[in-house]
Amino acid sequence: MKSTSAPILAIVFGLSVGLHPDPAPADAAPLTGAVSNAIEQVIIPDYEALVATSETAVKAMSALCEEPDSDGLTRAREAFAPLAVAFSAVEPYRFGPARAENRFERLFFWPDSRGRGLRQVQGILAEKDDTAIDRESLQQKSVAVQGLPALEYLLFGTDSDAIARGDDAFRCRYAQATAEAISDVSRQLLNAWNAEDGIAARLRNPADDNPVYRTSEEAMQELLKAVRQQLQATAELKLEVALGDAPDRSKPKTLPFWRSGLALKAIDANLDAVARLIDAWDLPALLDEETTLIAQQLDYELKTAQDAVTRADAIDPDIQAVVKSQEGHSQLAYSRIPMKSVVTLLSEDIAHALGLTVGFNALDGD
Amino acid sequence: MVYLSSRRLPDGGDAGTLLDGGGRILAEFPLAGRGHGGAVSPDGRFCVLFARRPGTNALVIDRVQGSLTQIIRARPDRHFYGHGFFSADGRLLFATENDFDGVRGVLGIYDATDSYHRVGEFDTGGIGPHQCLLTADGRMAVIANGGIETHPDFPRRKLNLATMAPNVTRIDLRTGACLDRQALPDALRQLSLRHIAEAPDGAIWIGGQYQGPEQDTVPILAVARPGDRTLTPLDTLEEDGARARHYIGSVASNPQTGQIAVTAPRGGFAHILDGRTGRSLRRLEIADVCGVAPLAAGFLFSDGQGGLWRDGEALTRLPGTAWDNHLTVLTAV
Repeated sequence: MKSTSAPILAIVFGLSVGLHPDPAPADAAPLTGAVSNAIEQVIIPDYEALVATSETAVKAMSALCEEPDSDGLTRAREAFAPLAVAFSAVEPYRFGPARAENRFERLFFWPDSRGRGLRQVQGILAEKDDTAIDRESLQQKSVAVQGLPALEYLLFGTDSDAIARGDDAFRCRYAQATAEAISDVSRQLLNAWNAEDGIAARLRNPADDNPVYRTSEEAMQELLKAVRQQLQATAELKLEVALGDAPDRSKPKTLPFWRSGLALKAIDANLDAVARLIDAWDLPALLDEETTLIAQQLDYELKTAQDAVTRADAIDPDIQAVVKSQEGHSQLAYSRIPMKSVVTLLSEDIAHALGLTVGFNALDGD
Repeated sequence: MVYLSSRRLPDGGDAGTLLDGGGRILAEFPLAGRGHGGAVSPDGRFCVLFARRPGTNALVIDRVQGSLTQIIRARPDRHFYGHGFFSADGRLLFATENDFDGVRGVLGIYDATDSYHRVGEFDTGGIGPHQCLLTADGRMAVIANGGIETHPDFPRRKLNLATMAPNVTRIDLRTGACLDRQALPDALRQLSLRHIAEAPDGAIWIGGQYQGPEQDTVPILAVARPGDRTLTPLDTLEEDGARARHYIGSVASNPQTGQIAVTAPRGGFAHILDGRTGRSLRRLEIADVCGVAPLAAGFLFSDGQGGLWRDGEALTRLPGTAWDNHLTVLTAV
């Protein structure tokens, strides 16, 4: 893909990705240190937060279903917010255990351009399908009906208030089973990251007989790719699609978590997770003085993006009002620029400085 | 022999390229973005270079005039997947396309005798059709339906990894009727079938891209034999599979030698296989290797660092250049 970013600071870019035949060799040990720090300081704690918030959501759901009232529904909705934020922090990690057993899609079936997930959830509600109110049988069903978007619809979507009136015990129990399924998959992911012979061990111990990562460069590359893909997803798949080219041509309901009013908090959590991951790499320790300036720029660009998202979020609690307003639309449109700068800086300058060759075809083949 | 490919230029632009088997560039045409697969008319005069998915352009090049004669545009509700072929009589051009709102693959049909007007389409029998070819008898199309749903609203994002169902389908080119459809055992449902080549015995060699866990030991190659009910997975590259990131970039057949070549850009290697046994005869280490096409003897390979190779031997390297995924061999004019 050709870069279209417009960096805020004037930086003379190197050649395009993949065109560095002889990158400077990097010392392997510091890269392993960077990978280890990222796992210990960011990735595992973020999965722990996902497990903890999912357990809180399960408790809130179970209390609500036992005694349905509006306080209970409010508490269940309040418990959804930290869960969505915690998920958005681990959203970048779509490799390793997230790829096995469709765990990523089970938690987050998105984008759902044709509204398939929603229709299936509505179908379950209409039929009062009993297999959806038991966690294990729910997990046998489509990935689209057992994750965060499903739970969000059950708690915040059309007719969700009926739960508080005790008029829809089925919807409550389906939501509870969904929260349990989310919690179960979150626990599986945390266990896989903690396992002695799991993904963390593979990333930390690159070797010829390691089935996935031969060198620390390859392990580091995986994390770099996670950051790059998340920023591209946030800037292009989420914001670009939702914003369109003007407020009156925007489609805010394509954003994940628009129903719960958490769309921008989730985007902020994406950016925050990326910033913390990059911080854990401690790039200044790995780079020469000149490149260290670029590391500082990464930090600055991410903060700029987060500030713009925060300013937009302050305009109105309703994301539709934000995106349809000129100010909100401009802030969000602007936030994509520093996100794309970070992608360019990481995939070109930083990757080159760390000796990470990224192949033209290997990077983004077909 | 002459080949069609495309490359990223030192200034960041892209070009479609005609080159010979020694790696010399014969002609170049500017492109708006990355190119992908090619098609050549039976008389060898015209070739078509498709834009990389989700591209909407295909360039028609007249090799006799040495010029770009036309740009074919996809229908607004379709985009190209990057591969196609001409009918045996040269009158029609077929291209794999995405009916993204209908979530189905189609083979678009263009009239080469009438400015490449789109005259119809056939169903490919699956989602995400990628490479397609004309069988040697000129009567059938073979299509690798990769199984992965994408939509241009969410460029290149895989939308259905949990339910993907790839297959290789043969269709009758006169009627569009599905003649047979072969899939893998359910355990390999996440092996996206994308690149294919036909061997002289009619077998279709398939290179896959596995979407499951990175550490899995799974076959990434398969063979479709005419008349079989299912595809035959090949364990030839199993041990190299994780190293390849379970990703095959191109497949080519050399009918002269009976050999098959497959490239693994993410692993930085290629294999040359015995077309009868499927065993690896040679493993070549070439960083970011992806394009491959037959030479009179052996294979021509291209890489993402501007290099062209005759088997393991470096031919040329164009600094600052990156070759795109495919090399298409053109019949001699």
